[in-house]
Amino acid sequence: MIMEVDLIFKIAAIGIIVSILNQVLSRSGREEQATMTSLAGLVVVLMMLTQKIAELFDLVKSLFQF
Amino acid sequence: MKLLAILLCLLILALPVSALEVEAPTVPEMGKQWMPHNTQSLAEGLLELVQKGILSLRPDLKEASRVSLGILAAVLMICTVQSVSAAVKTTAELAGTVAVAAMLLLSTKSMIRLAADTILEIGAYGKLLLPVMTTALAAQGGISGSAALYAGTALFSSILQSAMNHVLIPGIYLYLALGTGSSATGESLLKKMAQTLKGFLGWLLKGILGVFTTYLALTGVVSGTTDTTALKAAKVTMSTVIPVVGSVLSDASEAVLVSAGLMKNAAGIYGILATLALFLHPFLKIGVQYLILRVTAAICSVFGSSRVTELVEAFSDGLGLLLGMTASACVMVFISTVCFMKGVS
Amino acid sequence: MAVFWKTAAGILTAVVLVLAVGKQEKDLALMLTMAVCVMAVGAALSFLEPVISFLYRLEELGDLQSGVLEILLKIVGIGLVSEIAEMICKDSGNASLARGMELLGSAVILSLSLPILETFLDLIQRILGEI
Repeated sequence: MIMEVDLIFKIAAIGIIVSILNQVLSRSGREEQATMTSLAGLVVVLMMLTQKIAELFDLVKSLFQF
Repeated sequence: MKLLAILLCLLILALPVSALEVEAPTVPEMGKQWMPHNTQSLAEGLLELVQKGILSLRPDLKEASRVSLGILAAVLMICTVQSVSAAVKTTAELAGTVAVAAMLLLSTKSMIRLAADTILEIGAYGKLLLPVMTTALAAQGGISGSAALYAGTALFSSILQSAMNHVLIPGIYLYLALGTGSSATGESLLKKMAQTLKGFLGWLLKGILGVFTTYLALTGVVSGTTDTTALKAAKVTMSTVIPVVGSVLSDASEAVLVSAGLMKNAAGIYGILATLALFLHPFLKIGVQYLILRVTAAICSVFGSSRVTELVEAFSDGLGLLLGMTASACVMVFISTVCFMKGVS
Repeated sequence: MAVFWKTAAGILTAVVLVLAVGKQEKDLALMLTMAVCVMAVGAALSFLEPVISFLYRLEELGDLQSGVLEILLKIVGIGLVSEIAEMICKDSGNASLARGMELLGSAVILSLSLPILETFLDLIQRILGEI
């Protein structure tokens, strides 16, 4: 499992997009939508992350004889 | 009538002379293959004996190296695993100790058994040899001296035997157990107990020998010193090669080694060579194992696993004690025989 | 070796990005950190593969009992994962979760060590049995 730099930039990009959207939405008074955007961003990144964690655990299992 | 009386007197006078033609008992089974062919001269017989002994060491060297390699592999494995993750430290040390100790235990047990058998054989042979030498000395006229010498040697031999069976050998096993425990758990208390025990065992051995040599000195048999190079060399060799009791033995042997070379008594020479034949091969075998373990401990200390290194050192110390014990038994018989041959001063 | 340079560069990039994102979205910054951590560990493990086969070779050479190395490797794996998880928990300010992880890891390691402890006790019994 090598360092997939695109994943890092993807997550960073999502973070920046979400923060910008947040700013815009909260400035224009739509607080709930801002919160929902944040949550959506979180969930998307979480899904990516969970996949990576699963891969890591598989690697550890195979390497250390579990 | 007169003639008969004179004849009788002559016969009686002739008796002590013929009693000098004593035969040393034959060497037992264990030493038969190591006996030199030349049993007339002590120096040549010794040379042959040592040559035979050294030539036979190859398989022992191989075996000891195999065990040593296994130990090094185990230590390397433990250190590598530890360097990857610190969480595994305690378990790794424990696993390392268990692996190394299990490997060493088998060979150490057989060494201990070998040493015990050798001391038993030397003692048994001594029991056969000494009465013969006593008779020879008594026939020369040193009746009281011979009796004292025989009594002393017999007493100290049996003391050494019982000490060996009841204290020294169980003590060695206990020392090994304590060493394993302290290495596995890192408890400094166990380590201190092991050190104390080792000190006690060494002290006991030195004590028995010390009293023996003092006794010999008191009976006036051991006396005089000399400055020959050969003698000094023999002294230094003894005190460095034999662990634990080397210095005591070399001091004691000094005086007798002076006269040993001059001995012409065939029975005595045969007896000495037989005792050495019984002793030399086991001593060299255990000695090889001892040296290789020391080297292994030195190499292990490089990797930094100090606890496993201490374990290897503990096992080699145990072997050192065995060497000291065996050497003591042999030298006791050796010194007494030479004293007998030298006669009462 | 290219993996090392890539990973090092990736980690350094992540530090900067976390700073950038962290101003507005702290949670996403944390998740970014987690993702980078996971990938770095994965890269490290790829380097460990030949080391582990070397360890097996040592085990064969030394004529050791086969169970020992496996147990040790499992413990290493568990130690590694719990340590990383602990650090991430601490980073996010959850000291209690970190502690929980630590406890879990120690408990599992202890239970895995049991066979070795039993072998150790057997050994001591064997030595003392000779007395």
